[in-house]
Amino acid sequence: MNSASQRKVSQVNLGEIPLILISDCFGDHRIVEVTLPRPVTLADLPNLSNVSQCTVLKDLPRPFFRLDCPQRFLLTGIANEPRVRFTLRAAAITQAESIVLQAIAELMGLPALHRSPHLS
Amino acid sequence: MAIDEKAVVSACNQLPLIGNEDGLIPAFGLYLSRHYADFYNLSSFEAVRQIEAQHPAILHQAEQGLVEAGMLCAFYTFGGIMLSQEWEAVVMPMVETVDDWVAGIVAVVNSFGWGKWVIEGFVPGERLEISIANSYESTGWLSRYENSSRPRCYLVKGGCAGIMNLLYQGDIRQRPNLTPEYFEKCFHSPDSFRCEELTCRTMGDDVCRFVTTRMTSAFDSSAL
Repeated sequence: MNSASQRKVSQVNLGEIPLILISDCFGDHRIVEVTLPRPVTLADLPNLSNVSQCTVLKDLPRPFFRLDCPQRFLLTGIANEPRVRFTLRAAAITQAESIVLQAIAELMGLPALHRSPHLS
Repeated sequence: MAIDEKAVVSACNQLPLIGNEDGLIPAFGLYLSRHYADFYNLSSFEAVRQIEAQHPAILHQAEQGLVEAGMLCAFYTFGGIMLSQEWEAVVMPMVETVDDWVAGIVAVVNSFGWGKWVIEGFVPGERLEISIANSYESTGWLSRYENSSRPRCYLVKGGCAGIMNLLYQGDIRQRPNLTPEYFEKCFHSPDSFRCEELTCRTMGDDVCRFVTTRMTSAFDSSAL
């Protein structure tokens, strides 16, 4: 297996939510790491729509979750921690930020999030 | 070391390692390519055989190129794994010292089906000895060709060097950016680690054995 990962080539603030865009050797930002306003709990996971597969390893000392949303992304994270990672599908790359923000809003039960106008 | 390899493999095996509609496998915080199990072996071995037959003068460079590809793979794949949330969830709770990172990544590798890696010897910051009784490359070679006159596990050599370089030449624990510049620092400094394959199943040996040391150290295989 070969992989592609190169960390943190740029960082922007969207509202109060920092995003780290991670590039890879495919030449795109396919991976987005987000520090959410609060830790994610397992009770938050059902809030996300269009999940085809939900994997939760509850027995680990730090329970891990993995939510697969076809055509959009794979969301991974550790329960009760605020940092999550979106691994985007090719079809979602051009709309990465809006898709990620929509997912964050769903997951956290927040109002719709928009990119800050002063950031371009 | 405090790593419970059985627990790591068990946890990793619960994570879906399946391709998506893009033909890629999202796992361990990065993308893995999806292809036939023996595709890499066929590509690399046939390339070497063609070069050996037609351009023997550059055979050494060609084989070194495959090891370099293995080091790049280790840099991005092993490095990416050690920066992933899967790593934080599964391995980090067991980690007590930097040395545990070595056993941790070997345990993760053993969930991939590349063969059973066993740490035979380890001197922190100096030396790593690995044996593999069923390495992916040697199995591929033996399924297709006669015994070889020299070792053939190019990818594993890059992988072993990668583990030591990521931990003791660089410091993956500091969550560095995995940039080309950081790769150069880790892998192409005068005292970076390099791996030698001492025995190989493709040569008729029972197992493949690898020893990784700094390029500046005097190589000593007597301990094996």
